[in-house]
Amino acid sequence: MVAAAPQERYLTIVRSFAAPRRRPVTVERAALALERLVARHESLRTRLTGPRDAPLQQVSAVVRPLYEVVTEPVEEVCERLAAEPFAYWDEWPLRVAFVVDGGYVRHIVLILCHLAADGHAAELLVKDFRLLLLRDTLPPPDGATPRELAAWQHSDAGRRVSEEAIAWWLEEYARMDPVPPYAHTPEEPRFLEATLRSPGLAAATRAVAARNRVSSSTVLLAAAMRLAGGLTGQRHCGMRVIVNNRFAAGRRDAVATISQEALVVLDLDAPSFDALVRQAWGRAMRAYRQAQYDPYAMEAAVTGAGPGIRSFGCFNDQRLAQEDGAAGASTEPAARRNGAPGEKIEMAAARTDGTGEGKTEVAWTDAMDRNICDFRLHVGGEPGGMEVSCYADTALLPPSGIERYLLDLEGLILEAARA
Amino acid sequence: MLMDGELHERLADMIAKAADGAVDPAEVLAGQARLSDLGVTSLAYLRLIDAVDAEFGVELDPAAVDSLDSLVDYIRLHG
Repeated sequence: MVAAAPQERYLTIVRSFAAPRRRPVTVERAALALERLVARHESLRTRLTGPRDAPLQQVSAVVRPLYEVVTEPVEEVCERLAAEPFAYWDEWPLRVAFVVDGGYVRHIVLILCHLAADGHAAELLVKDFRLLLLRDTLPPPDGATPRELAAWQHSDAGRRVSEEAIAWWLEEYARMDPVPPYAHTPEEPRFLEATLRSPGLAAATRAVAARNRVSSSTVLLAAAMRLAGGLTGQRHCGMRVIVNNRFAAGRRDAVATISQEALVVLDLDAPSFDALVRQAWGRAMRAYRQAQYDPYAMEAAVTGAGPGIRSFGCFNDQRLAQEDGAAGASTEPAARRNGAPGEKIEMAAARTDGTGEGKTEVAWTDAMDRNICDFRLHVGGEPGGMEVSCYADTALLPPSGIERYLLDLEGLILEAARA
Repeated sequence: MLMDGELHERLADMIAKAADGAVDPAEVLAGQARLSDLGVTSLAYLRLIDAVDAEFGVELDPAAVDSLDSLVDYIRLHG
């Protein structure tokens, strides 16, 4: 995150929720609940300390959390509070607003620094906050605290897990074909995000998933990788997938950022898309088990794997709800769907999806000068109205290519569902 | 090592726990249904792999295991 500065606001996690109605919440009660929430979760009392190039995390025993009491519309509060990146060394990783009406708190807005929470942790915090608005106490949190997790990472067992993951990644790197160098003149701003909203994609993805007995995430990943291979000319293509790393006992309710990237490498020379989907499921399940590692050691290990030998982009399925009963392992925060303040959101393309359910739309949703990733896909949206965002370095993929990629992704899955 | 019946029951419980109770152990024990058809998600598979690794020291190949019987066979073979 520090490396992504100064334009890393896209990493900030935004959550808002309605206050309980059956027991009207005063500002005092909400403030007390907030204080208890921060006391309960040490990641909310953690800041960076030390030099910028070798920071450490420091937990404080006691923190008096700050909050705003506002009457603005919830969306405006979210936008305003999330506009600036967190000051990791100086600011606590949580900004809070109580939206009041008629003397009571009606909504709570939480803006979380990604250093303190990933998407799953954000959901746990919302759940705890809601309960604390209703009750005075909660049972102690289950599982390991961030400090205990950090201690485990530095233990022999933790190091062994990291070394195994790095060795596994290196084997996967050895299977990958090279990614060709960037071929396009970058735009200004250099990084663009487009978002496809499709009325038919969710159902089509579920149909292909059910047919192949895999998760809908796997179908989307297989499609994303097949199209990526079309861009790079690779037969063996690798894509990183965000994994929440909460499978092990004692990790499920961890309030911290423990999600990391897995590496999925596919042989795209599959006899059919269904065959590729089934291959992706097995490869992804193995890959998800190798997503706990020391990121510095991993970077050092994979650097120098050979000219052009690298993964192509990152896939992040942000749908926390397992609406199809088989959602993937990857859960990350919902990205902000609006452009930067003052930016005009323009429609890039629109078409009917052929299912009679409505119109597919592609809109430009973000732009920035720098980023730590050259290609990123986010899956989100409501059930039945799936959204897929493609964020790319325009030196890698020009704006027309970003639109094309998203429409081809939808087209590939809709066609597979009809087959 | 557990007897076959005990192993089936233990694994059916572990599957139900991995699936957060969305799958009934009795349903798993009842027949030859594929775990995915019973509603075992990829997340539940990953929890199950972890739990089996911790309890039996066997790392499951997710592609090779999609029923209780195949799970029992896999653990017998690799345990």
